[in-house]
Amino acid sequence: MADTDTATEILARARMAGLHRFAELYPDALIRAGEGMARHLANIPASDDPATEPATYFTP
Amino acid sequence: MHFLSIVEIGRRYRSGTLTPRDYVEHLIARVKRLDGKLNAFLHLDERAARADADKAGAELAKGHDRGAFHGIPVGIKDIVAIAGDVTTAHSRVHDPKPETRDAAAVAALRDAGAFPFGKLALHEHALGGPAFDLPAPSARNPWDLSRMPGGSSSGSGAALAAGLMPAAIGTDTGGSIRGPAGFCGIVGLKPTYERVSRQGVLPLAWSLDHIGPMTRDVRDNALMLNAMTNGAEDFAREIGRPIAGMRVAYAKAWHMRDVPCEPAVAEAMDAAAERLRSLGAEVVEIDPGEFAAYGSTNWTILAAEAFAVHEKVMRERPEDYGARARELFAAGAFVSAADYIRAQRARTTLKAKLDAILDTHDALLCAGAGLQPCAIDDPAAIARLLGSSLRGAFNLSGHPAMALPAGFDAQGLPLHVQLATATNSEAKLYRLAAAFEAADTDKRHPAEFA
Repeated sequence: MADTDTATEILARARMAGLHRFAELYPDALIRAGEGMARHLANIPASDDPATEPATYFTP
Repeated sequence: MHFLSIVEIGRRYRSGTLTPRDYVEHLIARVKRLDGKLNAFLHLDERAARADADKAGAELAKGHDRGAFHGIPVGIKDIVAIAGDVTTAHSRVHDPKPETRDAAAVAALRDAGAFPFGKLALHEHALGGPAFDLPAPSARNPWDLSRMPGGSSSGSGAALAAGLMPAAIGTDTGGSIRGPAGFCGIVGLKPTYERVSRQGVLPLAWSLDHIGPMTRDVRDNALMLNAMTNGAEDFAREIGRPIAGMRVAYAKAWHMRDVPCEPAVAEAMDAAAERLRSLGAEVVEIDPGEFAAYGSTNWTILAAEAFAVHEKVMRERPEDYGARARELFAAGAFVSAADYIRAQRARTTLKAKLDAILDTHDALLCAGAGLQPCAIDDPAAIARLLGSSLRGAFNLSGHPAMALPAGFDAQGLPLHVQLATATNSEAKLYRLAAAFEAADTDKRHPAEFA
């Protein structure tokens, strides 16, 4: 389970995303979701290859 | 009769020994008798099914033959639109108005003479199951009713394995066709991205969503893909050709190194590699890199896109979702725009890695998951099971990927393998899968549904 500072930060981010009601009703679920997402974000490999820049797939 | 292949059903229709109406009556009777313990169906419009069967029977009797799927009932996962029906997504969160037109895949199947046979259970909005706080119960695994059938196309996998229909539509964003196909012992294909139109299908994550066929054997699956794509290509054309000389890359490291793996799965994978070798294929071990990179990149993109789909309801009435879907959808609130772009950039490099493997090999063999289906009411075990999935890589890359039966474990649960080929190479995938399937000597059905 997240420490108090981490939990507070997760709930603040959730409110910034508009999940005020969610944060009131289900704070533990949000904290679990935030912690889980952080673990996944840490696994994403970095890419500085210009061929992967967004302009290559967000074509108008 | 309920475990006949579509090829055999068609043969009987055309020889006059079976009519679509008689076949549908048989299936309706089975659904009434058996689905109470399986929960594969959310809704079955018996009257429409009978009318559609009669129409197909009359056309066939007049010699107006639309091909292999003429008169074939097809189950529809309930995020896929059928004109006149409400699409519920197995959730309280849905539009209560009936659909005004069929999804493109359903329309294509109708053009091929097939017709819908029920709206099937799924994990809530293709993500959140199994769960016990939804408006309808979750589908169960016909091989062991205490276990989960995989998801999210849970009803499709369960109904096929139980002999309640010969074909079903599934959708797959991180493995949702291949998971239930594998855990229920049937064949499920996630085709190349956008091979089958997504029009009329509720989105989970636009850039990862795939629509595909689920059947009990490989040839039926290829014929269903033909029908779902309006006959644009004959995907069964290579079935029956030998596979001697084909090169298969075996990603053994994924299940042995990167996820928890049961001995039965490891043994089944090595046995599958040996089976392909015995058929003349050259199987070589390769390492596509740690699976966590693929799995986490897939989940990041999925979470962000799914949150964009559900943001309004998540803000205003989150209590309308089941607890499991609610928590999973919330993950997307923690993905920044920079995270999403970072994941899309990683996706490009990871796809290139798989492309490089599939440029020099005819197929990639890997496990679908390291673990076998667990108890349906054990959230911790379900989390472990999902954490052992090896399917999301091919949603990222868009390559066609199939779950294919590969024997049984000591508890009598089906084992499976995953095969993938290069983009738009479904015909080659079916050729390899059909040869693998033909060499399978253990073809059984769930005892409670025989």
